[in-house]
Amino acid sequence: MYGWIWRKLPGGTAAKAGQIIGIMVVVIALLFLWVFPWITSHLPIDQVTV
Amino acid sequence: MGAQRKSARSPLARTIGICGEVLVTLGVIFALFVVYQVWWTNVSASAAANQARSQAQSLFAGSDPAAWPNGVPPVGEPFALMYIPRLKAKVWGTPVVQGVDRPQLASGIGHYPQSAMPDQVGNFAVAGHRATNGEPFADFDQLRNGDKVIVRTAQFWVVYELKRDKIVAPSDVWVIQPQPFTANNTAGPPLPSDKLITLTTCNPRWASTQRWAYWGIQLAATPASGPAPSEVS
Repeated sequence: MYGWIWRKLPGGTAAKAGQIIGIMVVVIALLFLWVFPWITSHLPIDQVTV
Repeated sequence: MGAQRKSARSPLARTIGICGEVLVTLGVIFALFVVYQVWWTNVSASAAANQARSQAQSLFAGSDPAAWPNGVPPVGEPFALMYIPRLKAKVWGTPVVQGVDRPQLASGIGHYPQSAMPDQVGNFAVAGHRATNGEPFADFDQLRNGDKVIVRTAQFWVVYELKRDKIVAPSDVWVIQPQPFTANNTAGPPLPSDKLITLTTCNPRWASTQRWAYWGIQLAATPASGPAPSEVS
């Protein structure tokens, strides 16, 4: 999977590494801003009210 | 070389390799979820609390809270600031926001909308996170009977003194009743005041199987235009 992505990216090693970092930033932002808040709202882990 | 390696691997080996990559990815996502919970929710809650604090301060400075229908702030409105000397590291000028749903609890301490307002007859009941999302009540276990809780509203400085605590079930809604110990007299005799405060949070700290309630009585209410109580100044 990761090997396939690496081979599909254009450019030399430095260009590929730069694109990988960009993709990781986007994925982590998606997780932190939308996916994790949505998961948390469906987990009974931070309830403080009666 | 890539093509050479590809042809050298059997379909089984490739399938196992993909499974391994998926498992490693899931592991990284779980680790990121922990980072999100333990670190990021506190960062975003701190920013939200700063904004709510300035909203409360501009409310104190200007607009007339009597404009609220029945004197009750709309849900999401930061209408007070709370000071607890024992929890000074976490609860010192902390905004009290109307409502106890996630968005409100992620920007400060939430006020149960059906409960009384400060200095009203009844029970001023609030909830706060004990872990993550700003965790104002992180050190809830440090509270002792006799500790003071000071609430600043647009009109008053209100000083409460904590009197009694109990770990209860999440279904024990009697804890925020106007007179909790009349509603459930097995928990103790009534407190000697008709103006109460109730703090609720989760117990144990990193789980939500129980609730921890702490009750107090109002000692004094002085005009907000006057000097701050000695506990705060």
